[in-house]
Amino acid sequence: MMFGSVAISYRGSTLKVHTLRYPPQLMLTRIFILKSVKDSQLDQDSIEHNSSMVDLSTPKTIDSSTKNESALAHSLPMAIPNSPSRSKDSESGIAGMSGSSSSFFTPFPSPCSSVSSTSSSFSRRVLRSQTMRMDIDLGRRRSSMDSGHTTQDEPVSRRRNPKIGLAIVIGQGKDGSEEQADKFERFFFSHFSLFESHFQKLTLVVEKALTLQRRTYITPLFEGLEEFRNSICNLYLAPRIQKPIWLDLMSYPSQRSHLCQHFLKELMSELDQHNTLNTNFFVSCLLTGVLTHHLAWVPTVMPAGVTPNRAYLDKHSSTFLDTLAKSHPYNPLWAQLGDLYGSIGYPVNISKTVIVGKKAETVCRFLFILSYFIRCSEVYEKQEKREEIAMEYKRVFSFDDVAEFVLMPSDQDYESRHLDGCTMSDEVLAASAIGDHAEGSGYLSNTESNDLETDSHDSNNLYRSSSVKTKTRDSGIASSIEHSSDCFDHADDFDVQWEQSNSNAKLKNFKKDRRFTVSEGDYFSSSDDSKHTSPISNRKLTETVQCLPVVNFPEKTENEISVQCVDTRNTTMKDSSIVCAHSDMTLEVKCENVVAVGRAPVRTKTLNFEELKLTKHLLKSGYVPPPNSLSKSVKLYPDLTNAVDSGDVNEIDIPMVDHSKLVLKPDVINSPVEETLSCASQANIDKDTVVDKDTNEITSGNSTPTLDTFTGDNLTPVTESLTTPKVHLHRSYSENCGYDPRLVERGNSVISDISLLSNKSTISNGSSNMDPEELPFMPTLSIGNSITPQCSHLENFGRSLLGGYSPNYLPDFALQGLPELDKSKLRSEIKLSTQNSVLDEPIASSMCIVADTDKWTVELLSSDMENRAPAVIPPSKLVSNLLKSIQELWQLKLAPDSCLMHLEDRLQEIYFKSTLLTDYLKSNCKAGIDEIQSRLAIDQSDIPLLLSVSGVHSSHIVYEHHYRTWSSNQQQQVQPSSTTEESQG
Amino acid sequence: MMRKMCALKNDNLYKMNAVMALCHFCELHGPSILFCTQAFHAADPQDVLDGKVKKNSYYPKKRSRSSSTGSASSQPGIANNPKTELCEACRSFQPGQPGFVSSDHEAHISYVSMQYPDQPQLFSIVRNACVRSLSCEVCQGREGPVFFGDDDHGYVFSYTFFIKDSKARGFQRFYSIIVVMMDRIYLLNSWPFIVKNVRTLIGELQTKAVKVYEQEQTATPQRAQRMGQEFFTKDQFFRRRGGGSTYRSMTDLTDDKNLFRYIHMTFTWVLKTGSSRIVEKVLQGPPKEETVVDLDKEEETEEGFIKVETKLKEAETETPPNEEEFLQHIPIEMANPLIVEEPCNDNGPVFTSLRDLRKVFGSLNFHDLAHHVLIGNQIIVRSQHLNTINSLLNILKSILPNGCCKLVPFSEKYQPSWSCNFLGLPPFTGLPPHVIENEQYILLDVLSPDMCPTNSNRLCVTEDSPFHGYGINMTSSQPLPDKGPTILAKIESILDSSHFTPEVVLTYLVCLQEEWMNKVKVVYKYSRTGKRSEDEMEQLLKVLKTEESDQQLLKFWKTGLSSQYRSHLLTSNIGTQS
Repeated sequence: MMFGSVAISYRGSTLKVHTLRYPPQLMLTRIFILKSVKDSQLDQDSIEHNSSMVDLSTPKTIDSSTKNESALAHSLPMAIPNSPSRSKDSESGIAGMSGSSSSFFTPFPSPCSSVSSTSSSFSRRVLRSQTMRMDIDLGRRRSSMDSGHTTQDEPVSRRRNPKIGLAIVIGQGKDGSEEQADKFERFFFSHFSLFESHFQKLTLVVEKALTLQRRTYITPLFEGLEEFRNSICNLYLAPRIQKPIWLDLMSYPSQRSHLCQHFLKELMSELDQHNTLNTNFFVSCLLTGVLTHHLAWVPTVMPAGVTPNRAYLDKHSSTFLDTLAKSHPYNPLWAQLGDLYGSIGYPVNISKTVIVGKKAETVCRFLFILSYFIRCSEVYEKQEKREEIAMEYKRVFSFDDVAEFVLMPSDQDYESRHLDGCTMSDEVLAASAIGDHAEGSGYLSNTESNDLETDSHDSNNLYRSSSVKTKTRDSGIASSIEHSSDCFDHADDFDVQWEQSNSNAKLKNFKKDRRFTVSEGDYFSSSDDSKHTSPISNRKLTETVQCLPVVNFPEKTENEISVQCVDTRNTTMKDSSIVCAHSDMTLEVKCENVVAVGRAPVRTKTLNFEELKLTKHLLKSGYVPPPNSLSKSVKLYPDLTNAVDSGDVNEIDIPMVDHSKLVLKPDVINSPVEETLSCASQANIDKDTVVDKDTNEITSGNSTPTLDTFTGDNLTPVTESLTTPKVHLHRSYSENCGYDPRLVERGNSVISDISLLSNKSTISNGSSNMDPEELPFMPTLSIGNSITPQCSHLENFGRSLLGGYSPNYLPDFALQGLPELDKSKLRSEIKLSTQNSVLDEPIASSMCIVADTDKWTVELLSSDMENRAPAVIPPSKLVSNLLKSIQELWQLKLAPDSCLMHLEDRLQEIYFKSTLLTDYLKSNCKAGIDEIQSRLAIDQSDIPLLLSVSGVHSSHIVYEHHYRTWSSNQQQQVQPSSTTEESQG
Repeated sequence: MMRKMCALKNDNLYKMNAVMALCHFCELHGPSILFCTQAFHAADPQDVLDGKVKKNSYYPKKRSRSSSTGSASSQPGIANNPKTELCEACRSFQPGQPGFVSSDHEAHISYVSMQYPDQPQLFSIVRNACVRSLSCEVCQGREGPVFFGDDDHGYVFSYTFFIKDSKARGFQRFYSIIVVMMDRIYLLNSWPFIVKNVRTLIGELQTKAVKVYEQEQTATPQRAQRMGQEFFTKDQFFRRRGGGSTYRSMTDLTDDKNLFRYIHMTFTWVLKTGSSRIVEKVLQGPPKEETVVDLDKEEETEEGFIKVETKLKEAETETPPNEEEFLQHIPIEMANPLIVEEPCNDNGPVFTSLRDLRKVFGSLNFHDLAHHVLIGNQIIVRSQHLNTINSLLNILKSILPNGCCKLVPFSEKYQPSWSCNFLGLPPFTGLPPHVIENEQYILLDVLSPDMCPTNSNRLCVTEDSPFHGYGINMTSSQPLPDKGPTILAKIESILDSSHFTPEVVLTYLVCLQEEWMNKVKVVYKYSRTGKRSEDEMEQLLKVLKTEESDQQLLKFWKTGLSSQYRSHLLTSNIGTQS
């Protein structure tokens, strides 16, 4: 399993995940090539990290400009859709694309830089979506990878190097309880990036052991394994902050005032106690560090462009992200993780915060407070389920002039095919034929259908009505239409008859599973009332079966309608007769199990309002539209039946074509027929056996079944009007294809997408058109509350990586409390984490804010600093002022809510200040610290903070340009002792 | 032809983040892609946000034709295979049959199903995934989910399964459903979701196949037949191989003509739902007060059209009796009716920036002027050049928050201060006496050189600027205290600095304004919640680092708060109390 059954020629490292069933286990595998000893370095395993590694190992010696370039190239390998380079690509074609990798590394200003206020969080997500897309950029990503490969392993050395497979098997719960296993599985997959990074570390250990310590490799291997095991256990089991305040404020707006109060109380008590000279202004320092490095707060204070609605909200969730997520899916979990680590600025850093202290209570309070400032987006999971619709559907055809049709089968078929350009396959044709219900029960026996035939034949009428009988074989194979030559060959398999019957109209009832029912206009009989009784919301798919008469047409002379319903489920035939008060017609309805496969074919015909009115009018005037128009049939795609149907519909407002010739016309054959899918609520069906014609008409155009359609008052018997049916077919049945927007919402399931299908179906327009057949979307059922915040830590980084007070250091956590900290271990861990990016993108540096509540110090450990002593974080003046004023306002008894708003306002001021600084630096490239201090009235202590913030909202080029020269100045001149903040890049 | 296709492909019409495919291990042809669904996205995210996406622009119409039908000829992998070599079992679409498409016009994505992805690169990736999923990667029991992949070939979720076939070797055929993405993290995050749904689909397929299988077995028990049969003769063997009849398509195996439609719809659903399954909520900061105020104003013009009318009428009714007084009170002594011209928009000199204005006015005068502006006194400008008035007023406006500015750039007659704090008038327009006596205002006259500005209390511009030779007369209702608001000093220091580009100056002003607006907000909030003693108010002002001289400014700026903000405060306070 690890290597697969066949060797893969691929040279890079491969990642695999297997699930083992008994007992439930997950297996994570990595296969990589062991490099020769000379080449082997700790961090060369993964190509992606190469560049960052160079950065790390030689931070001082490499000339800054070249270093920047390389970092640029690798950290931002993304495309800008409409950049010049792209257009060049499009001219040169793919080859050009993959060849000129440099053109891909377009500078940061993202495609969306015009969305000024939201550039950071937005562009980050856009870029992610773009990087991961699968066509053009594929080439880009690959080409960059390829270059890495070629430089890295030479073909010759490859052959010498063995492939190593490393697998970890993780058991899911000892007790074997399914729930536990399921929980862990969810955790595993949602936190996969963390698992992967640990696994990567383990891989490095193995690699090192195998190359450098071949004789004693077992020991380090087991050590590595032990560490891996511990990390995973800790990750899964460590205590978390139960109520991270920022996320709770977002998730539970109703509790806002309470949460505000609670948070401010905690904050105030800490400010009172621990923001004094005795404690080195601990809170200010801590907050300065956190705000400087956990930058996700910046987007939350950046002013939104325009208020989306009238309601002024203190903060509102951004709508553009919703739009983006829909059109260019990215991974919200990934985005959330980046937020938490503060890796949203430039350069990309990973930051963590550790509060150390023996007094658990104090530490926990700080953790709680910081959970307001260490922010991230909230992630929700929509619990949705695909609505099960049966795979087969039944179709009833009705042609007016059966005889003629039958007489000229093959020619017609040939012709139609020919005209189609061979687009219509047998399959299509066959599919359009009546299908069997998936369950296979309740098929009509041949004899039954024959009976029907005879009945219809017996009746002689002046009016032609078409009745189609479908005989389905027991095997459940759909019978094909006569139409296709194949079908003719197997005449026995199906029988579709075109009859002229005046007196007896046959209705076929289609039964659909669930609410997708084909509804036949006036003759809506529901024999399965009992099945429809369940409330919509609670319905199960299987519960609802609807019986809808599909095809036939009552003719004027005969007044009796008898409905024969077959409950397919039970394989029982029920006879029920529906008597329409005003009509004497008899409807004979057969119910079959119909599966609605597609709810709405794209090429459905929509009746527009006028048509409807017209129809109605005609009906009242005694004009009877052809049966098909009244009836609703499910159709997936254009077929003969549909054509006929549509023809009927069109007949009303359009001059008719002789239907007998209809068959001969290719376009008719291909043409999509009006589809009548309607979803009837069961309750209504129960009550009204007859469906209003209007309703049907309306719904007929829609591809989407709606419950709503039938719920209205429209269900009134109109049958009386159907006295004189004239059946005419119109050629242009396809013109009004579209969906009725009303059908968008069905029951509790949202099918907004369905309504959006284009009105014009290309397919219907011409037989020669080869455009793909348009199909509707499957309906979605939401399970439970459609959107609920993920408040467990299982699937939400925001809740899982804000740790509580735990005995051990936990490398993954963005925030955590500890009694003690081993700094050397932390240091090495930080360094490692730079090499194994959890974010799947290169990281410039990794840092950890260590706040000691015993000694009241706040220090920063950075992977940049090598072996230097941790730097002390000085309090920023802006931050201390902010805290002070909040404190004083609180003392003045300003409402907690207002205090918090003021806090946000002040954070926004910091943001504005940083824009000022950025703007200034843009025009004054060589500005020094003193200059900034004097001219911009920015305190020196604020500069690191402001620069950091600039990295979030501003083009990194400007930032970078000034930052380098400038931070070095600062280090030397101003803060020789503490270079920490400035050197973050 | 090929070139053209390349161009089309790079058309940037589509992007996809995942491809979902059904693969089959054909007894004759080995692993093959049977059916494949891709998502095509609108090109530019920005367009989507701006609502610029044209319908169907993300829907690769032209290409799709070639894709489904002519795939065989354009695919690198199949290029050498004439279509006829594909047996039924390896085929989902008949030659010439178009693919399927479902379009989500809201999100601007179309999901297109074809037998193969028609882009060579993508084809090779999917093909690679297909081969690996069916013949390389193993999972326990051979049926089940596996994840594998690398950076070059993308990452693949594969679920392998068997379908019953009474005529196949071992009475079953081997299939897999794969999902290919470049984003392995996303793919793995979606694992539980994908497994659940793919498993359901496979279950459905298998159920159908079993039914067919059982029927066929009852009809002609294959096992018995095969047992009784002698071992293949060579002849038979080749017949079996060559004859395609044994290699039945999945449609036949399940006896479902619509199988691939159904699969398309299911794949589409999985892709669509899978990409929107996890939703993210990101908070943004509140919009700048200015933006909100702008919205406020827009609304006023919509509903308040009539109001404005009435105001004007009132003003008219008031003014006639005063008309005589007007003339008497023209504060400019040099008024010479002969020179009076109608204000024109043509060639008057304009102020380009605050700095420019300050230079023309001189720093002292500017100080006074800005002071008046900041505390909300009415600024009245009289000039014969409309563009001069406009530029002057607009520049002065920039030091005030948007909400505080009520601008009437030009009016024939005096407009009261409650209706505007910036007013442009034609030269020599008189002010009503009550205004002169009671109101706080500053009157600026910009006099062209031909008006002979020689009076001593006028400023004569001597500098080299468009205003050279112009006279500027400032008359204020009453002297202001020496000490201006704190913000004024800052503004002046900004203007003093020669190092700031105009852009920086603007940013700086925004900074200052927001800073002071925040103070104003606190004062407003504080005074709105409960009664506060004077002491407390004083305390508050101290906390906010405001001084006595800022009082007027705070008071005035309060009027600039948008109505939205006010109502928001009101509701939020209610919320707090409850």
